[in-house]
Amino acid sequence: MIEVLCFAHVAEELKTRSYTMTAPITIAVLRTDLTARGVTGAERLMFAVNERYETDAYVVHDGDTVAVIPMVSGG
Amino acid sequence: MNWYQVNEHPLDPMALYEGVRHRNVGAVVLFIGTVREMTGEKQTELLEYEAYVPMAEKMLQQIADEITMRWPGTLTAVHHRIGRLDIMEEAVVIATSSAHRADAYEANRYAIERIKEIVPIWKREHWTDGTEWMGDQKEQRPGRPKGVMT
Repeated sequence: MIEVLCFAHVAEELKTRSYTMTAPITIAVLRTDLTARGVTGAERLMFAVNERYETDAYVVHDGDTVAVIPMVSGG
Repeated sequence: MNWYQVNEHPLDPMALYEGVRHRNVGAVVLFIGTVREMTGEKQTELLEYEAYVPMAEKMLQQIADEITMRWPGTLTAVHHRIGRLDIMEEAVVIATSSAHRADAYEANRYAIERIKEIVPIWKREHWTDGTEWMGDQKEQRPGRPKGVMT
C-alpha cells in the first residue's frame, strides 16, 4: 500500500487529507485516478514521492508516501 | 535558530538577520513578504497558508544550497509562516548575507522566485466576496518544476 497526501484544493475536493492506493502504480495512473475522483485540473498537478518531485513515468512502490502538489503559491 | 522553518509562529525578522551575520559579512538583505489588503479592485480580508511542512523545509534548504553554488559564501535563512494571517502580518522572511552587496541582493531575489516555484506552500485568499486557492503564479508546467535538481 502507498499513502497519498492531499493539500489545498485537492484536499477540499476529495474531503480528505490522505488515502491509500495499491502499489506498484505510476504517477500517471494516480493522476488519472484523481480526475476520476472529481479533482479539477489534475493535468496540472505535481507529485512528490518521499518528499522529492517525480514525473508521470515514475513507479511508486509499497511503503512510499506520495504527495499531490497543486501549483504552489507561497511567499 | 532553525535556518529553514515553516510553522504557525509569528515571524521574527531580526532573528534571521542575526543568524546570517558574521565577521566577514559586509551586506545583509532582508526581504519580508507581508499580507496586502488590495489587489487591484479586490479586497483581502485575511490569508490562509497551508504547507507540506517537512518537504517545504527541505526545499528551502535546497534553495539555500542552490544559492551557495551560484554565489559562493552567501548565506540564506528563510522562515515562512502558515495558518491564518491578517493584513500587514509577515508571511515570509528571507535573509541573505555576503561579503559585498551585489551577491546578497541577487541571492535574495532568487530565493523568493524559487519559493514560488518549488516549495509546497499554498495560499488561500479570503476575499471580501469569497475564497480562492491561489496557484500558477509562475505559469508552471505539470511534472517536475523547472530547475529542480535531481
